[in-house]
Amino acid sequence: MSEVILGVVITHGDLACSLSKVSEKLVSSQVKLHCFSTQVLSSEEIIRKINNEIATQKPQRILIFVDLMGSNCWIIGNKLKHEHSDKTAVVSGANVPMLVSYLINAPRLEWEALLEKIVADAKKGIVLR
Amino acid sequence: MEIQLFRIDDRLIHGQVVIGWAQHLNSNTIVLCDDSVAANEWEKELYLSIVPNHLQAFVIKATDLLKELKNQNNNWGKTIILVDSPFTLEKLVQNNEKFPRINVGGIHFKDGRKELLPYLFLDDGEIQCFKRLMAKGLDFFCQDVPTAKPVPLKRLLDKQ
Repeated sequence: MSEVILGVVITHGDLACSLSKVSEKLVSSQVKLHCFSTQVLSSEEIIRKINNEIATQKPQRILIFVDLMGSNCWIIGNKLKHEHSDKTAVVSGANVPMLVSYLINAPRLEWEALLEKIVADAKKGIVLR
Repeated sequence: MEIQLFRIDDRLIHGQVVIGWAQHLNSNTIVLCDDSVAANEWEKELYLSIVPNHLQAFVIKATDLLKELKNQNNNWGKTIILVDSPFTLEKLVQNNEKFPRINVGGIHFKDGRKELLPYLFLDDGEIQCFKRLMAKGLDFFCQDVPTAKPVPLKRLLDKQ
């Protein structure tokens, strides 16, 4: 792994943990995702918990996956990016192909290439037939 | 004219407001009243960036909103006003300005708050603040999205 990355999924409802569990099961990866739902917790509380993870794990990079651009999840992601700007990215439209791509590629790709790859794979997973 | 929707929501501008309520009510303006966001240019831009083009949106301080509420020429009939807490609302309730029934859309969990509804968690200070506002004649209904059943806040607080 080129860098230590903290992968965080923030979504509405139970989606974050479901997406994370499904993706981790598909890949059997050593890379872990941390899931947070906005259903119950206040934004302040989610930010506090993620900052605790950051303080504990001291990652070199933080990748925040959210389900919907413009949502409260996206706002939380952007507030964290503002706080840890030099090493953080927020990606919206999280889906299983995106997370699977992250779990597979995080250990082998450099940061910029990883970001491009996960976005491309998420789009590739949307097919109309 | 009466304010179309006055909402307390600790998430401020987000999907439930711009997709849910604004669409349901056919609103044309969102006013976010928050001293902290108004004082932070970056945060203000962040919230305004998520408002769709067909809606106007403004971020203002409580003191400025208070002046606007007193201006009889303003038309609030298509406007959603958002505040984060009952404390901000309390700053606005001074001279018997006429408020509509206030929508309590969401105050979420953090330490010290207890659950009243799945989207409503309050600590003792917030409960007391709501009670003070009720004593001044304000009426509150809890409803996170337009399709949900409204619940009178008084009924929940009477059980506390």
